[in-house]
Amino acid sequence: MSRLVRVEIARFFARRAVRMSGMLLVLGLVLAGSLTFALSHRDVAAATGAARAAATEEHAVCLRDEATFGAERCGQLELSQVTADPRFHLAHLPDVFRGASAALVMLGIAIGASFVGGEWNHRTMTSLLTWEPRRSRVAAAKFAAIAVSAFGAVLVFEALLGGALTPAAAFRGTTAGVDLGWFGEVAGVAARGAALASMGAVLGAAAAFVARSSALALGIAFGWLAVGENVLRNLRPGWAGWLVGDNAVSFIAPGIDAPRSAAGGGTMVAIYVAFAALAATAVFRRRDIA
Amino acid sequence: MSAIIEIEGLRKEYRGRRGPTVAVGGLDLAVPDGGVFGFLGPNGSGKTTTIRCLLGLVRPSAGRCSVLGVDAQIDLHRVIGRIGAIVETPAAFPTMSGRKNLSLVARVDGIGPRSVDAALDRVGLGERADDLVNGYSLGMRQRLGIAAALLKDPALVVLDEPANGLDPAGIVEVRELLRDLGREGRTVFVSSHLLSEVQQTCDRVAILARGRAVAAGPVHEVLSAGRGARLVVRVDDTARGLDVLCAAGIPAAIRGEEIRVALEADQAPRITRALADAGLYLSELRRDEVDLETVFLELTREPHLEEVPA
Repeated sequence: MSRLVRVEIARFFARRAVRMSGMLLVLGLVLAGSLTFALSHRDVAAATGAARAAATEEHAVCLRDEATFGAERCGQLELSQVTADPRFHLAHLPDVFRGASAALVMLGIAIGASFVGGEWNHRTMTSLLTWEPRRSRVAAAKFAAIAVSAFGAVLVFEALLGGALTPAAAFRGTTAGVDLGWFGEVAGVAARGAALASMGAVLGAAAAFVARSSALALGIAFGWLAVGENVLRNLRPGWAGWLVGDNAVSFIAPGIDAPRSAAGGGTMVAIYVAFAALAATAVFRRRDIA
Repeated sequence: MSAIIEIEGLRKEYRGRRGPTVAVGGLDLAVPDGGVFGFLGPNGSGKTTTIRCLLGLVRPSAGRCSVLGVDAQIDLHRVIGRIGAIVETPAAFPTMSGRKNLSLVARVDGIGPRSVDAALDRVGLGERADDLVNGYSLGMRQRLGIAAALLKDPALVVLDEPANGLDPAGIVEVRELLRDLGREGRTVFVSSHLLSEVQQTCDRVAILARGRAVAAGPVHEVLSAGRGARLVVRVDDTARGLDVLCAAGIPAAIRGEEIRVALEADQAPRITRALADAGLYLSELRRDEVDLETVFLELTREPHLEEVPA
């Protein structure tokens, strides 16, 4: 079984879709690092001055067009309240990871669907089953491989992202607030983001086992998450705590709006993903392979 | 001779909008150990479905298949390491090289790169092994599939139309390869529609029509099945020759420019004597050789199917 998982991991990283995604992510890292480095600087006074000047001009325009906007809307301008901090704060890295999570989860779903859907598209599933006919093992190996690979790849990406942004903070921003507690928070958010992307990849793969096509699997997964759950959320707001999307948000960014704690949200998503994987395996076991 | 493949009452129905379609309708077949076994049948006769059942890819509606002594639906995993197979057009990831494709499947069974290289060389893909598969011709993909089937050093090789897409030289190479595999003591179970190839390559054949075996056995037996012994006679005056033979009590009939005589070959002196006594001299006397194509077409004609017991 472990050999099969290793083979599936090798197969995963040998796929062009994965390599292309990796290259795009690296390009994104370079861009993010470069732009942050270029835009970040330590001249807080100049930035604040520019912000106050802009606020003053805006207020003047508002007053000039009082008839349009109304005097109440313009209010009093208190320049002391207007500040700007152009420095990149390394302490904000957890927020960067949280922001990247949604994109990484979507990428995980797409890669997972492509990993299994590609096997159907190219009919290599048939070839694979002439080497390992026990379909439960094949499905389990694929799910394990995609989960491990996606988790590892996202962790590496987040580490590289942190690395790419660090020079901006060290040389043109600030590392204030970076302490042992911060490291713990960063590790926690990164691990939860990687786990969520990993579960997304398994979900995409499960959809592809049933749909036997990458495109159809993506349609099912995104159709449910983007349309189905939104409809349910609007029709039955009380059900939000049971939806995959809301639990995923709880897992990554637990807070006032999240229906559950991070642990609760993560557990719910894991249960849904495990159910999807088991159902997909059951379908795969019974299906004739044409 | 022990059977390496045994199929008993195999039936497979596919459900469709217009009701069930019977792909295989009660097939019985035994493939002996060793040699090359040809599995013939027109399109839609159930060859590929049968192969899929043997490889556990398709669940039979009824009946059972055993391969290398195990039930293909239950214990195939116990013997799959001794089976090399390709089903229809070989499948490969087009954006990976031939070598990479082979390496990935080889690792499932713990097979190393040397065996991969050897398999690629054996099918003549050694020099193109590092090219992407999407640059391969259909014939090269077919070779890659055969190489994958040979990777496991299998006791049983199951090949579904291995000559598909091959050029004449490639077909000859595959023919030689199949013969070699048979000579090496392996059992090669090959489906094909290239009947002349099968006739040249296989020791035994089974002919399928509408999901049932209408003939099975050694090639020479299948070729002569249901036919009386025949000799072909040519003389200058065909009509007179027929009269002479009939007068001598020899059953004969004219077909075209030839006289067909229903006698065993060892009765040929009766013919020569009768004709010579009448002053007619043979320009040709030979056995009426029948090829597999003729037998195949005769056996797979609709009326014949009614003779097959249910």
